[in-house]
Amino acid sequence: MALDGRRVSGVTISTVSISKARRQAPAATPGPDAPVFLTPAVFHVLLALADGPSHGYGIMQEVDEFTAGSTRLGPGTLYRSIQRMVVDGLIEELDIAAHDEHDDDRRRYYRLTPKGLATARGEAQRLAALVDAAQQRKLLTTPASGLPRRSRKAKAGASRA
Amino acid sequence: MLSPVPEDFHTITPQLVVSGVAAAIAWYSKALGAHELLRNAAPDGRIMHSELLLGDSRFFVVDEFPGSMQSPSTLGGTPVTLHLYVADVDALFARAVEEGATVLMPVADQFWGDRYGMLADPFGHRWSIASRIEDLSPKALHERAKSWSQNQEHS
Repeated sequence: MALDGRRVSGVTISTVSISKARRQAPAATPGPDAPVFLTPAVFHVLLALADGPSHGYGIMQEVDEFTAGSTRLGPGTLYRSIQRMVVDGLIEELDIAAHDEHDDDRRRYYRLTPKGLATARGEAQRLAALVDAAQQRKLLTTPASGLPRRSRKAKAGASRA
Repeated sequence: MLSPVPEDFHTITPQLVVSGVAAAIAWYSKALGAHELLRNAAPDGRIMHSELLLGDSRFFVVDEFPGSMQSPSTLGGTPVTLHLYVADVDALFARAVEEGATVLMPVADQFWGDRYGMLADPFGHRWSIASRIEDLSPKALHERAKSWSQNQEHS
């Protein structure tokens, strides 16, 4: 059932060749060229990797820790986010890989790229400015209450901002 | 926490039926820049599910299963056009054509504010690709469409 391009052209309306100049234009992929839109899961993964490289399960544990268990990344969301972030150039897979002692899956390690680090910083600053605005409007009357327990990393991030 | 709407999907996710998923995934990857997440084979080797990422959207590609899932090549056409907004319509369109897509409408500036073209991929699915060049109000769009229709009548 192998397909070949010549056989299938059921929807041809008209065939027009494009100009040579256009044909020589650099190839574009929608992924890397598109502006980075951060889903909540993507920002969590950026935060989890800000401390250093980790694998999928490690990222899940890290997120669980710094959100005090209030956010749990499911495996489907995690691996789709990782795929998207690799395509967008926010993270990259390390050359090293290890076998999990409990199963045969190769454990892939990921780290932030410079673009990923810059994106994480930019988003953190944007969110910090929003929290400031919320505090000025007395939405956070007791700043610490209601927030998850802060992990070591969250403190480091706060002191940098 | 499990969300009933997965974060990495938009509300609409197209499922494309093709004759030969492996070749189609290779083509969507090379020509359009899609990235495969997974594929599941049925016992007879046909692909009953695959998931690809294209820009910030996902779509599924499956093999034909006669009786329920038929490809455009079997049906002799498609009534659906998949529309892509990208940063550089000319570059992506040119690459798709280089890889064997059929031009249905060459890229040109259109009255509705897009630089836009349309093509058919080698599997018979139809795509329009565009980059926005003007930000028009619905009222302005309506007027542009009206004057375009009048010009068509007179030509």
